[in-house]
Amino acid sequence: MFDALSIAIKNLFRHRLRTLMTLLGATIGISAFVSLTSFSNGFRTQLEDMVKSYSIDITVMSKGAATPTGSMISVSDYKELSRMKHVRGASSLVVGPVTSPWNPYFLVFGLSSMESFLNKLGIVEGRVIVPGRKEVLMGERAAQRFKIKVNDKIFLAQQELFTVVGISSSGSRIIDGGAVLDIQDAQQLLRRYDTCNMAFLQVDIGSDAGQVAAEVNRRFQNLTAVKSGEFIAQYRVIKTVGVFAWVVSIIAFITCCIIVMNTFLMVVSERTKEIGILMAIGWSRAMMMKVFILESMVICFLGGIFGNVTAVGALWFFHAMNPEGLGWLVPTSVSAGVMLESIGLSLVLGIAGSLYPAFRASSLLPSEALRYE
Amino acid sequence: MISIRDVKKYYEGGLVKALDGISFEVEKGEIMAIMGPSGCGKSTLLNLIGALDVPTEGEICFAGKNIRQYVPVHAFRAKSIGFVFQFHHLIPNLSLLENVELPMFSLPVARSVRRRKAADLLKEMGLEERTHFLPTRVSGGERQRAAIARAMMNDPQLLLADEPTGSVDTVTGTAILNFLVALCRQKKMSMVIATHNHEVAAKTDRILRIRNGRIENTPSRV
Repeated sequence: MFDALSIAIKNLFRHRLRTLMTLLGATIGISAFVSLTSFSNGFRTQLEDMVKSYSIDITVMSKGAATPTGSMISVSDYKELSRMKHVRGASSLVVGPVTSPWNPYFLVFGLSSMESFLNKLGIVEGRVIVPGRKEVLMGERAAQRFKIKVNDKIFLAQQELFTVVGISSSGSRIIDGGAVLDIQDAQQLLRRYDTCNMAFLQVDIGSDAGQVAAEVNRRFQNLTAVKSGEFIAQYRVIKTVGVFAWVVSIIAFITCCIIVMNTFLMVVSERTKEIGILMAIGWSRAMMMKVFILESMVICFLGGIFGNVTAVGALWFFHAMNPEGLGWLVPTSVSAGVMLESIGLSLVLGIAGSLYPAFRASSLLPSEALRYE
Repeated sequence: MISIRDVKKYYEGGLVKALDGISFEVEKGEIMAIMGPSGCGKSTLLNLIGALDVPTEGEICFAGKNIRQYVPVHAFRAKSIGFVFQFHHLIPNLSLLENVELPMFSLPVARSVRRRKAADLLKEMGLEERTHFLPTRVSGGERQRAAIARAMMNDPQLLLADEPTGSVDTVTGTAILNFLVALCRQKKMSMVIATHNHEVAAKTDRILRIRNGRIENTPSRV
């Protein structure tokens, strides 16, 4: 194996430009996979962190809503939810984007019950908001990015002036990239006067949250209730983003496979006479295949390494560019799991792309290969 | 050593008769030349003897056994046959030493043993100073000697040389041929040389003349 690998590596330097172009193709393919998977996983993790941040047993949204911003729960339904048997506490959330001078897609969160979330919000500076005073708690990431400090006055939705009374850090990039307001202020900004986006229920100690959620689903045909741990799995956008990431990754993989296969078909054609010589001096067909496949695996492995580096760079770039104010959506790191997965994928790519050309090389009749011009 | 019995090789469904009933034998340690004009079937015959191709009809035996019975065939080629081609066909991105090692890659031999043998062979060929040179950095004659070293790597019983002096000048060609013949005599190795050069053929033990895929004469002793 070492001998075959040593020859394979030396062969890569025979046509440096071609090796480089194939490497570039593999790098782009792996980079696409890593970026999209990280984005999809990051998005999911953000939402999981956000839900885990709070002491919520059951999450309620309107049935069929793809995202929280598309969900609507009426005030009357919310009141009925809060009075249900085995529900010891309820809070509501209004969430949506507003335009601001510094960000066209600035998320604001209106909470009905600050007490439930205070210990999770993590006030790092200033104080919590007082309802009715047009006050806002700015997320730490937003404050740093847009250089906003405590006691600053800011415009939201281009017409409402708010005072920044504190800066919070919850650990969730979604929340820390936005701002928390009193729910009535948020309803006014987002024009959701009699509705909220989500309701959060806390069940009595000893009660089964699953049974309470089932009861909600039975009584409210227009609502969907799930235990908070299962909320993310139900969230359609997560699934959509995940499927999108996989589809594009598969397309990238197939494209890279074709590039690698094309390269090695050319290589086999160029080295036909050499293949004949090697067979004549005693090389087995298996050895021939091994060398070609190893050549391909080395290029694709390097493509995997560079692809990960490129993906991290690309994620940082898009995060920093903050296109349309959605930079917060983009993670800035790649998990070890995704890196390992991408390296594994690059090796599979190396094998898949070179298998047919290697088989063709090993199937050549030595006498015909020797006659090849 | 080698026995060729009524060997035929046809292409294009019989339209092209590269060999049309060849029979002869080569003794152990014997050096034989196959002569004939271009396209007469010399290279085809060498390919068949070297198990690089399969005859359409007839039988080729090596050491008393049909070569089709040697399985796997690549191991037979590696251990028993050495090839020397007209153009050296060294791998351009491998050093002379690495090129000479190539025939042993398929065999279960330790890397250090293989390296040492290759180095010894190159020394025997007078290429000790060029061991780590790429083929492009040495002369044509030196490349051909490295190719001979490669052919000798597994101590073959039979050397097949297809126009071994065809790509070098006369002086170098003579030197290479003398070298090959001396080597075969020393190691008691059989050799079959395909050539159209009378001076080359004159140095062998026997000459077989082929024309249009058939033997023109009874192989005569030189």
